[in-house]
Amino acid sequence: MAECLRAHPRPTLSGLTNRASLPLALSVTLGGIGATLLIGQMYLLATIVTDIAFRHHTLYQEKTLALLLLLAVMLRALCQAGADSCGDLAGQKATASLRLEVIEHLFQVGPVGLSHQNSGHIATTLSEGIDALQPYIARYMPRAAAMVVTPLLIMAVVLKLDIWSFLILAVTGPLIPLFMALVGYGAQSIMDRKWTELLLLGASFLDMLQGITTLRLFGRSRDSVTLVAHMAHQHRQSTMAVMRVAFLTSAVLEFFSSLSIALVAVAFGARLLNASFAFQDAFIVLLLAPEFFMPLRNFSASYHARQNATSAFKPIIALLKLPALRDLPPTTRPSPLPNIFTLEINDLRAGYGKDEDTLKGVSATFRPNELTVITGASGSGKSTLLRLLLGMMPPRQGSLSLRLTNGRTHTIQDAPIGWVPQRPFILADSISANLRLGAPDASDELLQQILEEVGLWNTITALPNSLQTILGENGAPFSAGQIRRLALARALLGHPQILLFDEPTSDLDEENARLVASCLARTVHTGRISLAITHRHDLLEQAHHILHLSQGRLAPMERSAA
Amino acid sequence: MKALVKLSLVWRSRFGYLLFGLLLAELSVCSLFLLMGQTGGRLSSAIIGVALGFGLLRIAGVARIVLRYLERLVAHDATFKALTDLRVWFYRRLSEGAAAGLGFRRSGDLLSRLVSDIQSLDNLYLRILIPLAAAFISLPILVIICLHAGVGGALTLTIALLFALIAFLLPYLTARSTYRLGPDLQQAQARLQIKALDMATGLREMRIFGAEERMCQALEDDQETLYLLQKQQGRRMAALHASALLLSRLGGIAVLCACVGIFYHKPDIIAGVTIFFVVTSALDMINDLPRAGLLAGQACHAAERVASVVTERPLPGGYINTLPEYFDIQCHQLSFGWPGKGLILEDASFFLKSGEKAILLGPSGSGKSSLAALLLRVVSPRSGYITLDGINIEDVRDETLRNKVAWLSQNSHLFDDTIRHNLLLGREGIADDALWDALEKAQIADFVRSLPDGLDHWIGENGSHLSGGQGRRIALARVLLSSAPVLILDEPAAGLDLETEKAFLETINRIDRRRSVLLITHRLTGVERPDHIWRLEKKKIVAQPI
Repeated sequence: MAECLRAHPRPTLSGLTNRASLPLALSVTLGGIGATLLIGQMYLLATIVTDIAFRHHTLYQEKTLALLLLLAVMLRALCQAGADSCGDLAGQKATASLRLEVIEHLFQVGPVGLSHQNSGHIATTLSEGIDALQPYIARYMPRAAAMVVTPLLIMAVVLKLDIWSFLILAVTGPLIPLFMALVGYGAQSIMDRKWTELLLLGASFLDMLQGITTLRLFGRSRDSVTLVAHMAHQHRQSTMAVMRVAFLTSAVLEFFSSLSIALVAVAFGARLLNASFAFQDAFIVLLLAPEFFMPLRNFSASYHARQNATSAFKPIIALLKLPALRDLPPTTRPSPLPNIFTLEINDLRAGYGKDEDTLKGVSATFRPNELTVITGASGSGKSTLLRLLLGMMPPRQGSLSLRLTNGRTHTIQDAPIGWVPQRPFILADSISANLRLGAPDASDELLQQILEEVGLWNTITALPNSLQTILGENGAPFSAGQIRRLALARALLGHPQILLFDEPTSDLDEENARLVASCLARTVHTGRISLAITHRHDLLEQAHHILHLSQGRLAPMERSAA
Repeated sequence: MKALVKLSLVWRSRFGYLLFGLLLAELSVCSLFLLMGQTGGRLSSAIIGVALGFGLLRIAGVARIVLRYLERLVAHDATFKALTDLRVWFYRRLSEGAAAGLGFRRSGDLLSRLVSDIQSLDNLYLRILIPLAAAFISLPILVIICLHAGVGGALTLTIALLFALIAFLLPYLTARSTYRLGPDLQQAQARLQIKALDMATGLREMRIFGAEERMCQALEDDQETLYLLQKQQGRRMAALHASALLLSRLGGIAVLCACVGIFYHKPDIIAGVTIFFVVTSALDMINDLPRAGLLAGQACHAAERVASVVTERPLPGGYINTLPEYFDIQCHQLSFGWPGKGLILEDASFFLKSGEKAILLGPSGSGKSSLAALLLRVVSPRSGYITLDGINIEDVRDETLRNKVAWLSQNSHLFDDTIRHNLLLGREGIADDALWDALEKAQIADFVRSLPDGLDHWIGENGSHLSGGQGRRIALARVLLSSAPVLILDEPAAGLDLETEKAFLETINRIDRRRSVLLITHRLTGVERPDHIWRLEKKKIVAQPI
């Protein structure tokens, strides 16, 4: 968690590089060393060739240079491999820290703030969305740096050797970005527009696939195939529109680079013929000229990595922009308080955003060993009250406090709370992992004892893998009633002093509802404060107190009125 | 590999165009050789003092750029045409085949996985086939150029060997390694995704049970596993890439050695320098092929996944074109289980008279939805049969059946489109009055009227701009719009809150008395008014008193 809590400045796409500055710097440095080695290689090559061809040296005389050349070649290969690996590492490091930051932020936003977000989208953003940023950091960034470093190095060497070639490169080199910018200014907007279009089309293909059963059952398969064909055709045209721009720019790039290489060659040709220039230097410059333009080409080839990253970054930023709740209490589980006398809620007011209060001054007292049932129509503020009790949102006014028999008071978060929700969340993991969610150290004996209490032990031991059975989507192979009891067992494992039930028997058939209700009744003991929010009659019979919540106000209710 | 061959057969009609792209790629490679050869020749003649015109050089240079541009344009165009074919083929096979039962048992995640799989197949032609084929053709050309220039057999052999190592052996090694690592990587990715989903859906529980820290740790561990595998692959790739770089430099050095008469027979200086330029550019060109190997390993897996989905054979179509306007439904001793799984229905029978409404109860996973799939003839029973007024459902033509049996479930998809298009689903010639009538019956007309765009309101991805109940009502209106005399409602109210659910079921009570309705649910709310209540128990259907 310490890792999670490390704060980063507001993330931007290019700011991502700060998260992995060391490996990235290493990658760029290794790339720079590689470029230097390349220049060295060319120099050695030209020297050896000139020596042997013009100065009539033997290979023996050149053996040091030849060995150096071999060494440079090997070192450069190593540098390349090292730069690639460091780039990968940087990508992983940056995305890993971003992922943890997003998760940390989601924890800060809390379940209430996220209740309007599609969890599938969050999951995709957290996994694939963040992974899409990797190539941007691992490839695009080092190449962007190489685009500056390598040509400058080469320019410096060429300046030392030949002023004319330097001038040619110095003039044509900047022309390329300039021209690309001129073409690209329009191209960029075309690309951006088309890219959005592409994403939309990709999404609509998925939409069609997801709706394939619906379409087929409405007898629309045939028409929908035509539609898909039309869509795919459009997709192709959009993609090609993007590609044409990309190809044109790279053709322009190639044209300029070969033009300037040719110019360099022509300039030398004339002077070499006049024998006014040393062959060796000319050879080096001619070998270096194509390398001058290589990083530019590599850079434009990795451009789509940036496009992908830009579009993948938007939903990530959207998640990070969700407002965090400041007053959210820490999440460590408290140890039990001795001798609780009452749980008192006093003049509670709460609401969402800028809306008016959902709870308009609610007061009540709850005692241990009693079950209080709170009824109310939907929209009466039941969920808000529950969220306050669970500490998922702070009240606007009022307090929730625990009074001990010795007169001391504590906040509600100081006692362990158990919760059995209407739709319990089931981890895609084993039964025991699901049970131990709140009590990682619970012994197997305790697990058995509590499962027997909720009447699930025999069901679970009958499964081939018993407690190690992996639960599927929606808790398969358990029925809705069994899942509710599993959630009850999970809550009980944490030895809660306050136990909250949210519609514990809704959505269940009579038989299962009866089972859950009787389980629930059995848990009301050992100094535990039990509270259920429901509209079902099966629980009212077992309640010690019934309160009715209506339009944000709480009032006691006679059993007969229920 | 088999899967790749199978998928490439979809592109039969494009073979000509694909070949054209390949031809252009090859021409572009040849122009590169010509260009580099000329550059080398020009340079070496300068050395020995022979002046040559720059004409050929210029032509070759311009040709290279133009050819490269054309090649990329054509190759990409061909690829996307091929991909379009693949998408349409995939969609058609899915929509006509038994796999249309997808909505009954597979989640949307699988589909999005498939979409990206298909997308990743664009690498197949562009980044694997073309460079590999170009390398295959370039090798003999390179050999011929070398021999023609008279640099001797030994040097030619060395160059050919290095070329083959870079272009064929290294990519093969990469492909094999990625193919092997593929399933592990995918599994690690899936695990991370599941953890992320758990994190997003279970935030409440994690907070209340104080499990945030541990879940965060678990996700970090999964991320670590994934990154470890990626690192492993990255290191192999980096090593292979560096080897390719090293080998290609060795090629250049070998030619230079020959030029100065070391190890090899010394060729003519002009030929030597020419060959030097040709060889270095040829070896540079294939430097990226190990990357193609990486993509090939991934494409193999993608192709296998795509092919495995479409292998399910379509159900044979019936021949009966007409059914009576209203009819009784009889299920006779149906037994059914999904392929590769045990039976979930055994000797299940019922009789639903025309115009009657029945409720089928049973816990989740008991086979209720399978019964719906059988009635919709998305799947076939292992034994037993279903008759519509005595006509076996297997003998009825698909389209005829679709017009007679309508279906609504929580899986009924709402398209990212307007309300109007969601109601029409591509049908034409239906007046707005009919749409409003259906919306009225589904009790959502007032809401639609209150929207600024009315029927043309955009409802978002699977109806995300609507509330759950509103979306379900739009789907109900769509079903009511059809004139189908039989409605199968499979848990239509699942996931709605109780009030909304009751209101929704009351709407269903008001459905036209002539239509038969089979309502599948896991519990009763008390507002239903059925003629029968059936319970699915121990794979059989048992009638229950009302």
